[in-house]
Amino acid sequence: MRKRAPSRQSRAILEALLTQPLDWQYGYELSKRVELSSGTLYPVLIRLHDRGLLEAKWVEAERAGRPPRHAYRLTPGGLAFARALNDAPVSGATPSDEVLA
Amino acid sequence: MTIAFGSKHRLADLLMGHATARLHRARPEWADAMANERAFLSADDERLRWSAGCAVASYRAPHTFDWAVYPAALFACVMVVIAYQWSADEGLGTLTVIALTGLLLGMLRPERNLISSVAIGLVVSAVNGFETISGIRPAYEIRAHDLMHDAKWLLFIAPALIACVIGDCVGRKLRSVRAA
Repeated sequence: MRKRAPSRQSRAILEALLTQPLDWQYGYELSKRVELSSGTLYPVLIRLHDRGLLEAKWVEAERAGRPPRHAYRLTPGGLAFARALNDAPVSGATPSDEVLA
Repeated sequence: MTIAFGSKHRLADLLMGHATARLHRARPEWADAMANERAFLSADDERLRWSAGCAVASYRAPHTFDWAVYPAALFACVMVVIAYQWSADEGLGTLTVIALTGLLLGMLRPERNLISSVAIGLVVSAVNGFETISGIRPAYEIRAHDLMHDAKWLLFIAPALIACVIGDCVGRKLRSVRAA
């Protein structure tokens, strides 16, 4: 079966998360960094999370009265995938599924 | 000015309400994530854009559509098996129809393999049982069966389950290829 290359949006999000791999990042800030709307950002985040490439947690807001925020960072598998993707040319080979295991 | 502000605010609320309502059953954590994030946006325009994006995301997010599609697909598949069973005697053709519908349902809704396989696997026995009890039967059925004979076709649940599981595996593979 032919493997589909990750979309430009997925690449942008993975790259953004890869630049600060230890930091938890919030949806809004991430959407600003990668210049994607929430309508594009969240479906990609959900897919990455489903594949085990992204971990998410709730963070209590610093200011009282505000709701907790959902924060994201790459899992070890996600880091390996993003690094492999970074090393691969855009139109060339994509990281294999073994990376995701 | 106040009216414009109020309209944008209301529209943003409406869009976010729609997004969270759509996502909440399948993806409650993500619905809350999008909604909570809006509290951290300062400008009203920005909140409106965010809410509109979330409404779009609620349609584009994986595994959100099948809440509505699955029951309809299950009903359609059961009807197809009923129609086939009414038009032909049970045999390889019946098995093929059950296998194809099982594959489709397994791909569509992996978490419901057991329900899908029981629903389509029961059809042959149910149709035969109806024929036995009511006496109404298609032209090709020249003799009446007894209910014990009809019950043996419950065996079709097994190939239906196998087909659903295969469909589930194929569906997961396709989704994982599509995901990134």
